[in-house]
Amino acid sequence: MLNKRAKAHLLLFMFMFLLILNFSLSQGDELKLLLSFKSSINDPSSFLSNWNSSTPLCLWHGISCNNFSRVKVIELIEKNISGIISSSIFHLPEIESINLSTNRFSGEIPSDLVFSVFLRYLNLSNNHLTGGVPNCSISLEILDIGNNLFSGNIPPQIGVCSNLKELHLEGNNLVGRIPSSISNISSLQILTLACNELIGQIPHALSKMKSLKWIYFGHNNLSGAIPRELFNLVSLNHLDLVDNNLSGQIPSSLGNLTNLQYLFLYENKLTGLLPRSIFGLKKLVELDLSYNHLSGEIPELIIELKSLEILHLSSNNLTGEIPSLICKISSIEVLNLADNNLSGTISPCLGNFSNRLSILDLQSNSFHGTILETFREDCGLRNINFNGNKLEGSLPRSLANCKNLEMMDVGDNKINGTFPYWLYTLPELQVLVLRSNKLHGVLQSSKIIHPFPKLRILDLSNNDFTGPLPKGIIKNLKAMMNLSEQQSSLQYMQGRYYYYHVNLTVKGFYSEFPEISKTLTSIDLSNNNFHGEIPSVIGKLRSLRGLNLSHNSLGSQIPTSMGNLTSLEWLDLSSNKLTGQIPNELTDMTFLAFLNVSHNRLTGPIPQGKQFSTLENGSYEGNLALCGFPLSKACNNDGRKQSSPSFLKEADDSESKISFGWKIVLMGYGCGLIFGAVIGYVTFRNGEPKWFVTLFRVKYH
Amino acid sequence: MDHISWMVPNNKRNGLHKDQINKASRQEDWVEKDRAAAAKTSPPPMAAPIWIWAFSVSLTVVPFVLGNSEGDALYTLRRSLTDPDNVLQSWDPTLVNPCTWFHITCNQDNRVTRVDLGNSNLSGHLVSELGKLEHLQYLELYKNNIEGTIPTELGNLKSLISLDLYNNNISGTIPPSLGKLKSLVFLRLNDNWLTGPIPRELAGISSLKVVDVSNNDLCGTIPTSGPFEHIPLNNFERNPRLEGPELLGLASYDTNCS
Repeated sequence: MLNKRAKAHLLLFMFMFLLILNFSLSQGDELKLLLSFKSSINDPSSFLSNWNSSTPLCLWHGISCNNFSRVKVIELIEKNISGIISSSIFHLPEIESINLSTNRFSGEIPSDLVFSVFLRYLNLSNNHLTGGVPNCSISLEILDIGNNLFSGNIPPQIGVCSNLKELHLEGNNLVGRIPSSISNISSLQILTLACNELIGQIPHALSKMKSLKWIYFGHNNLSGAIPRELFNLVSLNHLDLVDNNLSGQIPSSLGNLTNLQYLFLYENKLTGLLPRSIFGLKKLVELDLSYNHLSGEIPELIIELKSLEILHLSSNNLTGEIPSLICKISSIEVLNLADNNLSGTISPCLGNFSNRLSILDLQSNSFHGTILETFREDCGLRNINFNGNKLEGSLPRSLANCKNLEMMDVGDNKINGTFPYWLYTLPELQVLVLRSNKLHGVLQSSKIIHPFPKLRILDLSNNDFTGPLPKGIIKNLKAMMNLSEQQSSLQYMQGRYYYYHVNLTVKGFYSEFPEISKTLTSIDLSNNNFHGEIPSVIGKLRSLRGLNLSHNSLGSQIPTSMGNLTSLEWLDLSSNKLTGQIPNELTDMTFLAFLNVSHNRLTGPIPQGKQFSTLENGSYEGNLALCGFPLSKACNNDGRKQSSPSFLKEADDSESKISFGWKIVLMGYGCGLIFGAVIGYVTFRNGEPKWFVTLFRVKYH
Repeated sequence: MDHISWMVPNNKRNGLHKDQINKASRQEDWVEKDRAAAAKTSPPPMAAPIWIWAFSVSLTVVPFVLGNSEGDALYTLRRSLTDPDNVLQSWDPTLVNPCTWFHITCNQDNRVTRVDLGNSNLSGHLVSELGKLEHLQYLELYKNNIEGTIPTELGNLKSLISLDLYNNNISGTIPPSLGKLKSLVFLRLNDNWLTGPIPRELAGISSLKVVDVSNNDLCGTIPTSGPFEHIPLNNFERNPRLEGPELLGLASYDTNCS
C-alpha cells in the first residue's frame, strides 16, 4: 500500500503525463481542425490569408489563444465569408467563444454536434444558415443564431442548455409552439424568439424562469391570453409581445413587474380596460399598447408613471377625456393617442407644461373647442397632429414659439381665421397641412425675407382662401428647389420611437403615407377661391413632385416655365379658367404619371411625345378646342406650330403605302427613259439599223 | 426565404433597445414587419361557419400578401438595375406596398398601374418578375441604357396598355408571348438592338394602335394583318435585314431569320 507521499507523487506524475499528452495533441490537431474549417469556406477579402503552417496559430487573424496557447476564441465578424461551417471548429478542445456573425455562411449545423465542454459563447447570427436549431451543451452561456433561415420547431431538448444566460432565436423561420421545457433554463436572462412563425400560447412554465429580464416574442402568431403567471417574473425589465394574435385582457398582475421599464404589447387583439396596476410601474419608461381593442378611459392615475417618456395608446377604443393631470408627467416626450374615441377639449397645459414634449399626436378623435392658446417660449414640439377632430377657433400665435416644429397637421377640423402667417419664420417646418378647414382671406406676401425655408409639403386645400396665388411665398420655397436625391440613403421623418405620417391627394387619390420621405415634396392649393395667374416663378420649384391647383378660378395661361418642373409626377390644374395652349415644354416632365387639365378653356394642339404619349382623354375633357392625340379631334395644319407625334412619321399613313409603290414605278420610268434616249441617239446618229431609220424617215446630219 | 420581404436590419422603430442588451457583438438593429399592414388585416368574427370564416380570412390576408409581392417584384428590378442618379432610392421593400414609392402609381386597391422611369440614366437589365404586376397598364422605361433581353414573362401583363422600351440597348428577340397582351395599345421598341423576326402573334392583338420597331436589327417580313394594316411602314425602317411587308398566300417566308 502506498503511503501518502507516494500517492501524491503518483498523482503529480499522472497529472504531468496528461498535461504533456494533452500538449502533444495540441497545435498539430488544432492546425488541422482550423485548416479544415478554412477549406470549406470562401474568403473573398482574404482575411484568413495568414492561416497557414508557417504562421504561429495564435497569431492567425481572428484567433485568440489562452494561457496554454490553445485556441480560445474565434472571431470572424462581418468578413463577407461564405460557405459551410465545418464542424471541425467545434472540436477544438479548449474553444470558449465562437463568433461568426454577419457573414454569408450557409448550410446546416449538424444535429449530432457535440460542443467542447469549454464552449461558453456561440454567435452565428446574421448568416444564411438553414436546418434545425442546433443542440445545446451544458456549458453554453450565450447562444445566438438570430437572423438566419433556421426552420422547424424549437426542439424540447433546448432545456438541456441549463446554464444559458441568453438565447437568441429571433429572425428565423421557426414554427410550432414554444416548448415548456424551455423553463428548465432557469438561469436565462434574455430570451428572444421574435420574427418567427411560432404559434400557440405563451407557456405558463415561463414563470419559473426567475432570472428573466428580457422577453421578446414579437412578430409571431402566438395566440390566447397573456398568462397571468408571466407577471411573476419580477426581474423583468423589458417585455415585448408585439404583432401577435394575443387576446383577452391584460392581467392585472402586471403590477408585480416593479422593474419593468419597457412594455410593448401593440398590434394584438387585447381587450378590456387599461389595468390600473399598470400605473403603479414607477420605472416604466416606454409604454406602447397601440393597435389593440382596449376600451374605457385613461385614468388620472396615469400621472403615477413619473418616469414615462414614451406613451402610445393609439388605435384602440379609448373614450373619455385626456386626464387634466397628464401635464404632471414632465418626462414625457412622445404622446400618441391617435385614432381613439377621446373627447373633450385639448387642455391648454399640453402646450406649456414641458419643453421635453416633442411629439403630440391626437389625430382622429373627437376633441372640440379651440386649440390651446399658450405654447411656451422654449416649446420643444417637433410634430403637432390634430388632424380629424372637431377643433374650431383660430390658430394661436404662440405656435411661433415652437422653433423646432417640423410638422403641423390640423387638417379636417373647423378651424377659422386667416392664414397663420406667423408660421413663416419657423426654421424647421417641413410639412404644413391646413386642409379641409374654414380658413379664409388672402395669402399675403411675406415681409419675412425667407419664409418657410424648409417647407416641402404644403396642403391648404378645401378652404376658402381667396386672392392671387402667393407669388412671394412660392419664389422663396428653397426646400422645393434644390433637394438632391444624391443624399446617401433614404431617410424618413421620425422622432424618438415615432414615424411621422400624413395623408395627401396624390395622382387623383387621397393616399396614406405611413412614412414621409425627406425628399417628398407636394403643393396642394385645390378647392379654394384663388384667382389670377399661375405665376411663372412656379418653374423654380425643380424638386416639386406634385402640384394640385384644381378647383379654383385661375385664369391665365399655363406658364411655359412649368417645363422646368422635371421632378413632377402629378399635375392637376383641372376646373379652373386657364386659357391658351398647353406648353410643349411640359414634355420635359419625364416622370409625369398623372395630368389633369380638364374643365378649363384650353385650346390648340396637345403636346406629343414622351410621357404625353401615355396620357388618356380624361386628362383633357371639358376644354374649348384642344386637338391631337389622345383626343379623336385631329389638329388642322393651319400654320400653327405643331410638334409631330412620335409615332406618326408621316402626315397620312395611307400615303406611305402608295409612295412605296410610286418609287418603284418612277424608277422604272426613269430607267426606261434614259435607256430609250441613248438607243435613239446612237441609232439615228449612225443611221443603223436602216429599217429603223427609214421607218421614221429622219435624216440626221 | 428571402429576408427582404419581412425583415431587414434597420433603425426603424422597434421594441428592442440595443443599449439594454449586454452582448459581445451585435452589428445591426433589426426591424418589425410593417405595422399598418398588420393592422389592416383583421379577420372577421368567428360567428359564421368555420369554412366561411376561413375563406374570408384568406381573402383578407391575400391582398396583404399580394401587395407585398408587387413590391418584391419591383425591388428585384431595382437590384438588377444600376442607378447612378438614385431615382430608385425611395423603393423601400420594407414598406407595406410600393404605392408611396416615387415613380410608381397605384390604383385604389394598392395595385401597381404605372412604372414611369423614362430618361432616368438607368442601366442593367430587366427581370422576369416584372410579369407579376397583373394590374400594370403603363411600363415606361424609354431612353435609358438598359441592356439584356425582353423577358418573356412580360407577356403575363394582361392589363398592359403601353410598353415603351424605346431608346435602350436591349438585344435578343421580341418574345412571341407579347401576343398575349390583349389590352396593349402602344408597343414602342424602336432604337434598340433587337434581332429576329417580328412575331406574328402580335397581329392577334386587336387593340394595338401603335407599333414602332424602327432602328433595330430585325429580320423577316412585316406583318400586314389585323392591326398591322394601319401601321405606317416608317415604323419599321432602319432594320437592314427586314424584308418588307409579308406576301400572304405564298408558301414560306421568314427563312434565314430566327
